[in-house]
Amino acid sequence: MNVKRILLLIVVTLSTFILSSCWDSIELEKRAFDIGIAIDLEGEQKKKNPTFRLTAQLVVPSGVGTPSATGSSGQTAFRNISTTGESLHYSYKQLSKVANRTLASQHLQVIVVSEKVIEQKDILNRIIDVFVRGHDMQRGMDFVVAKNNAAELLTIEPQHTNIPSLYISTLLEYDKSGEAIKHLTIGNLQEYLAGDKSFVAPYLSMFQEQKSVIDGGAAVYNSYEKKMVGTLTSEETKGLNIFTGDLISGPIEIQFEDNIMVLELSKVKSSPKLVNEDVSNLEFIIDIKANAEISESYAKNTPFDINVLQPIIEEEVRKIVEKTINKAQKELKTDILKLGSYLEGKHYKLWKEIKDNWEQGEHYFSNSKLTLNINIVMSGEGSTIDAKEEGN
Amino acid sequence: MNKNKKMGQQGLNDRDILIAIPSVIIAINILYFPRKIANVTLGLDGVIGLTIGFLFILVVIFMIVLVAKSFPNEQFIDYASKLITKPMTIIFIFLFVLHGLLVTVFEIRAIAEISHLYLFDRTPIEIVGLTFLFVVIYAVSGSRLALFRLQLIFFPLVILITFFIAIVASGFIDLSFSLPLLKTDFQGHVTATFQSTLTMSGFGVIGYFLFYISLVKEPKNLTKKAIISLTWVYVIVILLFVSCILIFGKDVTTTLMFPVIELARSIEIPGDFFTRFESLLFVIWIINVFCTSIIAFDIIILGIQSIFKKVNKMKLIFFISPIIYLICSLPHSIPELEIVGDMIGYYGFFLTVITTVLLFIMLKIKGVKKR
Repeated sequence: MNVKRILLLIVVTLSTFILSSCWDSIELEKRAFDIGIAIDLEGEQKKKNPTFRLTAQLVVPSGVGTPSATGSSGQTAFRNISTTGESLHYSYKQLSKVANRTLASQHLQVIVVSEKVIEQKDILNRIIDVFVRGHDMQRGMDFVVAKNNAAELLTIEPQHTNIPSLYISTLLEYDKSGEAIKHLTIGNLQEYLAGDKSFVAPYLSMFQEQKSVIDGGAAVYNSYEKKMVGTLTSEETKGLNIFTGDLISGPIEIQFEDNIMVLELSKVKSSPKLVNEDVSNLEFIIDIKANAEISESYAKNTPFDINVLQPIIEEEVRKIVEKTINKAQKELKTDILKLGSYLEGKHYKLWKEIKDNWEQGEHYFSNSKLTLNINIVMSGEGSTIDAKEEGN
Repeated sequence: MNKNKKMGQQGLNDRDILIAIPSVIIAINILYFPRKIANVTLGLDGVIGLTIGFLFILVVIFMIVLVAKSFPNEQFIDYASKLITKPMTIIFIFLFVLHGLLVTVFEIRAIAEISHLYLFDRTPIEIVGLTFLFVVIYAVSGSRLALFRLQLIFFPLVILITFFIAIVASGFIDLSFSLPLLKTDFQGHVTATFQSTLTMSGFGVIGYFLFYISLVKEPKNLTKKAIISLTWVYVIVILLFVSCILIFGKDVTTTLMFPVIELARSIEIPGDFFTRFESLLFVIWIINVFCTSIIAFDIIILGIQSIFKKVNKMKLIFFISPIIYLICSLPHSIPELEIVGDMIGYYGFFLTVITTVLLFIMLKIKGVKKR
């Protein structure tokens, strides 16, 4: 009996050695969280496989500080390291040569890709793979396209937060100008690529002497060419947002009796409808409904019926949207208007027929006729109704 | 002592069965079924296949209950022998024992692989599997009743987490993914229905209830309860499928290894306070897979003990466990494991359906002998 007990004691004691440890445990202090990744092309591209420059932005916890003491430490809160290589995962592992901690991408927030990278054919689908295949990253990471150099965006000196990547990812969420694209996650991106759909991505560029970032315009990716084919300007982006109904709010300037007036659009809704199913003569009617409210007026402040503005704003919106449509159909030949998705959803038979000639071959997309049916309700004029004229 | 004995003899009651059915059916199969169905259907059309599959399984469970409750307090071997002769019964029991063995193997290996894929990079799969097997062995060496009581504790968690995922996910849905509606071809619907039937029969584990339902002491309203419990499965399956399709779209769902895990990964609760939601899903699902494994293991013991009455339970467990562990190590990769899973699914499904229908017909012909 005693021998048995002693044996049992030994077994129990020994088992603590096996049970106490975990193969995969890495202490928090030994990890370096990368919070942003930038991908650029390295040097001249002659070979079949381009060489990437991968820049990772690591958080330096001591520099972050507490919210109240932000910036007082004087230490930068991030560290950028980069390597080059022909594949991203390979380069990523190379990064551990320069980092003195284990890299962890569980909190990766934003992926910045230079436009030069995805202007190469067949690259985006390859580089996105590593981000959706890797199991420690989230599908909600933001994807943005950078004008020129991507790594540069990670070196800005933002004021509200210490870390450029965090700055960029929050920047994407707050747009009131209507001239930026709704933020695009890696998950969305995979949905577009898997469904062979063209799409637009947020397009970021530097401004203010390299100290800040502006989020405006859009990068256009064509699913048939499998590369980025162009960009939209800020105004064309606004047109696109109105067309797709994604516009949350956006000011529109109109001329009213020789004066400038600014109207704020809201509650934008749009629904396309196919009215002519003849393959060579596809015709859509797009109903666009919105509310408009006067937010600034340089006109004489005499009371007037705000409904007289309705035709003017409708005309202005039509001009903006038509400019976008024109660019998409004629110049880019890319279905960023999501008409393909509409056809696939509502007219599946027709879609199967024309799918292979939509953005290529017969170019049904570019040749289809789009009629805009714009209906804007003047919903209010702010809190000023009747200001008396003085002097003048 | 006397009281203890009485407690030990206290048999299964109908509530235990009510909970055990969905708890045993829901396991690894639920983690990847949306991919199998999205593969062959467009938009939300998979719901049709899932519904038909559900109705089919409903008929099967209805027959199982009807057969088993006609012979209360009798072992499967006893009542089945009356209906389809003893040698046939023994063959069927052996087939079920083999199925139980394969299901245990599959669940253990799959949970080890998934843990490796999502949680542990360096911990060897063999160790994860072995640890899991140890816990399963520990569970089955106790009383049978305890296994069912365990399901009672754990199953509400599964319902909770599923609803939680579905509710949080509803903020991320894109309704345009539900289109095109009703454009799947006939072949697609047939395949989807078949896949749903496999999923909702839990690789055929519902057949195990032929063994358990007859052990229920006082069967009351069993049919109704079995239908309710199967409806739980249906609700969970539909919620997860619809969430997957509306969030990822059909095209992406087809490319995801485990769509339901990805679903947990892709949802975020606003405020950045609670992210990385999948860790919670893992905990619950590992428990759930454990629930399935113990019942599958128990079927091996129950089956063999009913044929060889004198076999010592512990010796049997220690004899089978190494075999399970050995078979566990046979598949090379996750895709290979999935093929194995499909095989077990077909095998279990047809075994269950054939046994049930055969017993049901014989019962109708011979009738229940009045005692």
